[in-house]
Amino acid sequence: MNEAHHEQVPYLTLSGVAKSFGGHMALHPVQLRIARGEFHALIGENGAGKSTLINLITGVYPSDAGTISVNGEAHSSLTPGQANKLGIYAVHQELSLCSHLTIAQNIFLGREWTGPFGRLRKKAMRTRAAELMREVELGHLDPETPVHLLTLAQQQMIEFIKAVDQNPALLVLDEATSALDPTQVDIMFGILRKLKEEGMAVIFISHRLQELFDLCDRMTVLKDGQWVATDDIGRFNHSNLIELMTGRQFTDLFPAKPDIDSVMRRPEVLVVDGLKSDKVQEASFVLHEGEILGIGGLQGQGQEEILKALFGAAPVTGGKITWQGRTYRARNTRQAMEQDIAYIPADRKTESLLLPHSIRFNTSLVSLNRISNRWGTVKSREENGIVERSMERLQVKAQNQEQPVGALSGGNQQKVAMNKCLEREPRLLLLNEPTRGIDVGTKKQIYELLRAQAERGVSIIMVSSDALELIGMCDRVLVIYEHQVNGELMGEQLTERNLVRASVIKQGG
Amino acid sequence: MMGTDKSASPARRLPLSFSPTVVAFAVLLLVWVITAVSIDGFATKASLIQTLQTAAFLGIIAAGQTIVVMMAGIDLSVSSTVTLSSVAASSVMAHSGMGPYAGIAAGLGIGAAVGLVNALGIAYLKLPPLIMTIATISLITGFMLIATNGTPPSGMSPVLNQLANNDWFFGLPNVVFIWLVVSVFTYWFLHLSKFGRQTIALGTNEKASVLSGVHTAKLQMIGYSLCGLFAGLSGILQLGYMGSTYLTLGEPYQLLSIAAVVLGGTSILGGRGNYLGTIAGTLLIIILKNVLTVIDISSAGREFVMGLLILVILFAYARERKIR
Repeated sequence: MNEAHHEQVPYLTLSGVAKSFGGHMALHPVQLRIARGEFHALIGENGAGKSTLINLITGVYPSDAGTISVNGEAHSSLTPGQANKLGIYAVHQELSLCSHLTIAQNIFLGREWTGPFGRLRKKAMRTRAAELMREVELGHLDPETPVHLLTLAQQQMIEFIKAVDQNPALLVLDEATSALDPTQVDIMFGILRKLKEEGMAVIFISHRLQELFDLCDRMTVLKDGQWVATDDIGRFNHSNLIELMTGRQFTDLFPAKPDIDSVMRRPEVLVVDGLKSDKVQEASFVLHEGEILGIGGLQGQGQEEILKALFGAAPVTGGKITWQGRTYRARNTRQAMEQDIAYIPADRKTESLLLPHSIRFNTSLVSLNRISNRWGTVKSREENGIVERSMERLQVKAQNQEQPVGALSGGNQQKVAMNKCLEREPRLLLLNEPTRGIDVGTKKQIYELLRAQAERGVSIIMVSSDALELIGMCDRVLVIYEHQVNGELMGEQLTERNLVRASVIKQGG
Repeated sequence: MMGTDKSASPARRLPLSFSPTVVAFAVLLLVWVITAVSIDGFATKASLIQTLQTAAFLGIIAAGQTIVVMMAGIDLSVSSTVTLSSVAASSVMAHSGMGPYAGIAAGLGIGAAVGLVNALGIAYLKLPPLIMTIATISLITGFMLIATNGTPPSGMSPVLNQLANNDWFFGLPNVVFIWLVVSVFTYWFLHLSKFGRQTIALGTNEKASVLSGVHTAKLQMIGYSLCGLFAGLSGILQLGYMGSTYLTLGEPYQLLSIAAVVLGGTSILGGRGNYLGTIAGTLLIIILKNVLTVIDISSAGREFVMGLLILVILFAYARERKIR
């Protein structure tokens, strides 16, 4: 009966929508139909195109091609305002509440109820807010509470009821349950099921596979920006899903790896025992001398925070770290650097490089103490030396040292960002997305450089959202799921399938 | 996300051939030539020396302001620091029998201390520089009113007088020579030393600087202390120049010191500029002031025209260019 209903009234039809960014196809043309009252799961690895797809549906990006039909009316693409008018609302993992406003103010933000002369009907809004809050068992909170005093889970719930109160015809939930505990997830699902009877449709993205199976009717699998499969959820199970999500073309960019047994026999230089930090619940692992250790998993599971905690750029709230045989805890980035640890951030434009300044300025910034005399004067001959040497190391393509890095290509910028850190000859290199947004040729150079560094005894930890990169480059990979280490893969076990499995399925639980 | 090489597109090239510092000197030269042609007696040696001497008091303050602005900060409290140091110096010389050197030390020390307090509020209490330095103004103004009952004691010494008015080197007034020394130091600090590199880095992008191991709090303490120290130096030199002080002595320097920095081509957002430009900016302001005095209009009108001229010049060449 449900099935027939689907066929009659497709609420949303995507035909051939696609999106590319600067020549890279983030999403190849996709067909998708969602009926009234249908709950549709969307699944795929990092970079598979899930976010791009929902951003097209919610009007965040204009579509490059095809049509988006809502209620039978075709649009070439939507704007966020249009999407809202058509009843499409979204709740994202990154919360969009205004933290200094109250719960009630947030729920009614931009659609405040007003009386004569534009007077705000505060009391009525408070009453409605309290009503909504009771539905998600937050009745014990005062609607006048500023949002920043709430827990992350409570904020996520508020964001949910805010969207629900606008009577969406299609609600997009992008990891909207990530901060919730099982009871709260049940409450949310209860409300969703009630609204399903009224015809509301849902597109649901969640890293917890079980939630998808519990809630949804149908599922679409994406891989590498391409549609792979859409079917009733009953046709999928864990193993065929992993099969469908994986199997990307493996490119031959990676230098040869050493024998894993010999790597594991080398001395342990870094021992992390029960590390706790922002978004890191508990991480324990060891790193051998000259080993390249990868950290993978779906985005936002706390991978970056592990690196930042080691580098003194995020607070360490628990656990013990031993670095080169001594207890180690960096209170700030300078202490980490003094201990021969370097961190190369993911966003080179805002976290690493000073775009208006020259290659020379950027490269020598972290080595100033070494190239200045005791009064602090920078010795330009020595500065020249290190800048020239470093530009050669990774063959930075630039007119000269004085060229501002903002004028370089992404690949060359990343080379400058790496050079600047390598110049200090670190013993531990922490890399966050080392090849994001750069061309294949530069990627290859960076991979070769990293392997060469490892062969010289530098230990490396790299976080990457690209499973193939982790498999191709790393001796061993830790997979993080829900802020904890969920698996350790090496040797024969280090396959895309195992990596994806550990990214989406809780092990041993 | 993006896998392409964008270096080829000319739109991404940054306009760096354009140097605001050079433009600042060009404007200065132009204004000087126009003035020299149109006003009799302006292009004489005596007039030139007079101009430099007046400029020195502002120039010394503006040097410190350049350091602070370069790190994306601002120090509005230079005005009250100038006054406070002159009052402190004259009080010490009037009351305690400790002589001129104690007075000078008190003026300089208090200047640096005010700067340090500013830095502590900005670095550790995370107060925005604008708010912190305005708060400092209130504190100092209130304190001076209570301590002096509105009339600062008139302590002076011949040493201070000579320091400000004589010419011991090359026929240059001492204050001009002191300005020169301050300038050499500031140029070294900002453009030749590691502190300057880090200052400019901090002013460009704080997050990237911290991740590059820049000790931002230490740098702010050095920068604001130098700014306070220079304001204090200017304060005691003005005391020596005039022989006494008053509680609104420093007021004009608050905005003029910032104007000198910006007219000199340093970005008010920090991270870009050159100290040499500030020297041009300082001279430009003083010449314009002198011209307005000669033209003989009311002091209110003078203020108005001064503001207008600064706006025109800023509009002509010192507008912010978005780089990111």
